[in-house]
Amino acid sequence: MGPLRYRLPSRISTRAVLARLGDTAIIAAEPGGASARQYLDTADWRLYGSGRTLEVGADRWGAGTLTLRDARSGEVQATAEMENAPAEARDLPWDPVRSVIEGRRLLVQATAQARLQRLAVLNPDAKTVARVFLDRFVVVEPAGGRHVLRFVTVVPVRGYSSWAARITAALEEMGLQAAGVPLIVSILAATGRAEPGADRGPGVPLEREMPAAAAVGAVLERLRNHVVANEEGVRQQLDIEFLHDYRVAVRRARSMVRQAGGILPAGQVSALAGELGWLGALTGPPRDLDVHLEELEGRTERELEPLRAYLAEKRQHAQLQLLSALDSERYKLLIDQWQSMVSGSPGPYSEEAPDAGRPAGEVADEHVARAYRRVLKRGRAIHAGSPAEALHDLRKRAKELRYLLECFQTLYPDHDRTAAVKELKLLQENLGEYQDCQVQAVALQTMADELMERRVPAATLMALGRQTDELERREAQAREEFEARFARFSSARNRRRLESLVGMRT
Amino acid sequence: MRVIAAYSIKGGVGKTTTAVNLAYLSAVEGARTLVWDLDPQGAASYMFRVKPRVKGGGRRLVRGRLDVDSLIRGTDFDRLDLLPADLSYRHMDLHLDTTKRPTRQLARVLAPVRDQYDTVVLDCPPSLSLVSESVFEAAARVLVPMVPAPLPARTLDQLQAFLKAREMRRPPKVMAFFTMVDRRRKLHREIIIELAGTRPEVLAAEVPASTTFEQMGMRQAPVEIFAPRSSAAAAYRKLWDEIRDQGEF
Repeated sequence: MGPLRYRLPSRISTRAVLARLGDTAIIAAEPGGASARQYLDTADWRLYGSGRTLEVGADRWGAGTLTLRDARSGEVQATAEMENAPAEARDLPWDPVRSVIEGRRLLVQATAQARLQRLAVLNPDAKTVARVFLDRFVVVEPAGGRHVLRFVTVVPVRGYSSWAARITAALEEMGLQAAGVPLIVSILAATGRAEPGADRGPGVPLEREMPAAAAVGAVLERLRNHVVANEEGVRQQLDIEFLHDYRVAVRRARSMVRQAGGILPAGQVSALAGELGWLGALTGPPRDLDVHLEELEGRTERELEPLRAYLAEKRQHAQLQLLSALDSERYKLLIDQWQSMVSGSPGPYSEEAPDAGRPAGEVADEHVARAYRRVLKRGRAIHAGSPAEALHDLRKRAKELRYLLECFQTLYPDHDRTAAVKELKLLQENLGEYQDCQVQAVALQTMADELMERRVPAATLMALGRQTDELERREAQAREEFEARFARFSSARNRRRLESLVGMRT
Repeated sequence: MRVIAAYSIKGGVGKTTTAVNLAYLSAVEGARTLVWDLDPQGAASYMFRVKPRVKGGGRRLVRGRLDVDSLIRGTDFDRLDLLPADLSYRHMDLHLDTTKRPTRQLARVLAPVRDQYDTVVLDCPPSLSLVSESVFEAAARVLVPMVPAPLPARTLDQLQAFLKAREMRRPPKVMAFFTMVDRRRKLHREIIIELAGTRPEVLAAEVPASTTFEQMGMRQAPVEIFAPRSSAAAAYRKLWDEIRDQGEF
């Protein structure tokens, strides 16, 4: 039996609870306290995803305590005294938590004023046999709204669970109900926010019978929210994942829009697709530089220093370009246009969008099947002598298929879809490795040319040369492995799997 | 799970005091800690206000017939639990003797809760017996409190000889320290200097003779709770630091 947390409704006073507890057992007060709490997590809620919450509590003297809890039970897993709130993994003293956070920035996800009252339930030997916490949280919205949450938590002491059961029975008799969700979820809900991570990924809840235009609209809205949510992190360069997530959302949206011909009005589709292409292209160079810089992280060879400085300078430049784009009228228009496209109700049948009103499941099946056929066709045409472009093109088609499967994921049974994506992923990894190595080798060559003009030490250029060699070796290996990977992807077994997923022959 | 035994051949040298105070420090640091009160007198159980009784019988527990999980009791302190004593422990030698591989038995009893605790502190009865052997099998560290009396090295010698004779695969590391030290007494000072200089297993931390320890029985709590600023509390903090400084186990 773990701790049990009850929501204390406003109609029941704390005094009434105390009186009831006093009738049930001997109760003694223990030191409580008040603190301002900040709940920290990464933008993608990695800690919560790993079943933990992290809070910084400052008491009235400002001394900070970092508390790591089990998200569900609220039990304390570790505490540490801190002078400054941690901003990234290395500021935390706990290794397992560090490896969950990795390179992501810790953000303040919620704040609350907490007032805690601790009580001990004693047996006739004056031994503590259960604990009761009366907690009051005031959640303040940025706009100024205040929400009060009150909880009663019964914490059993091992070996004395019958006492905790007596206490919980008494509370339930008073009409208290178990909170049922982690505290952080209650705090977020108080300000109208969803459960952490609920809106991650492109998988919005969809129904097979809903109109196709509504389904595509919902997916595009989710992706737009991702773009908007990551924008501040991109601007401030909080960590490199913001730009990555931003970019992924843009590319998913572009792929979706491009494939939405027949579902959304053709005029809107081509305009938005073009603008999303512009945004995608803008985010490419800074992302590539982030990847290059990340690869250098932790390497201490002196000859790499000029390279690092060069890349950092380029990254800075790319950031300025990106910022000016994000501040532009064109960008604002794009975001507005995107919004109006998803919020407009799907029109009735029109010649511009004949599929708009058809069932989403049916239309999605057709699109997935078509995308799959395209991958098969392009892949089969590739032979040992095919140019690199043929593989690059196949990679794009594979990506389209992947995005479709991800964006429409809630239309398909989890198990079948995961299996299909897994096979596709293996192919994509191979194609990605091949192209990335090529692109990087070209980029290195350009860098080497530019660095040469700056008269950097020969050792630096040699280091670049070694890296290029390594990339070429990996590229060749990927090309060699392609045949086997594609054979697996296009095998009869995998094909049957996809056919049964979409319910039609490919 | 690191297992530490508070052990002495002699009684009344501060074993239970050591077990209770160190276990508390371990828990405060964040380690999930279990005290196993192996002494039939149940002094550690008393300190934590837990009835010294093993439901179903201590005999069945040490013979592996009882589920240890259900016998553990939470103390008044976070992360600190107790496996209570039982009067039947006074015959534990006999119970062990009727099991297969008796010296492995205590470790086997603890096996089901391995993942639940970071530190286990064994409060042992004073003897040199099959129980002690089983303790030495289970523990990685054996803490030996010594009163600075004449011939103090004798108990250490006995213990070391005993361990050596057992030819254990992984013998525990013996760590001895002085308790009930009165620095005003010349004899105490001399004995400590003499032994600390010649025996590497003797730790630098020493626990003073103090009325604070007498109060422990009345208050039924670790010294850190009711006298955190006392020399007694400071001594145990220093001892705990020194034990940990000698390496993870």
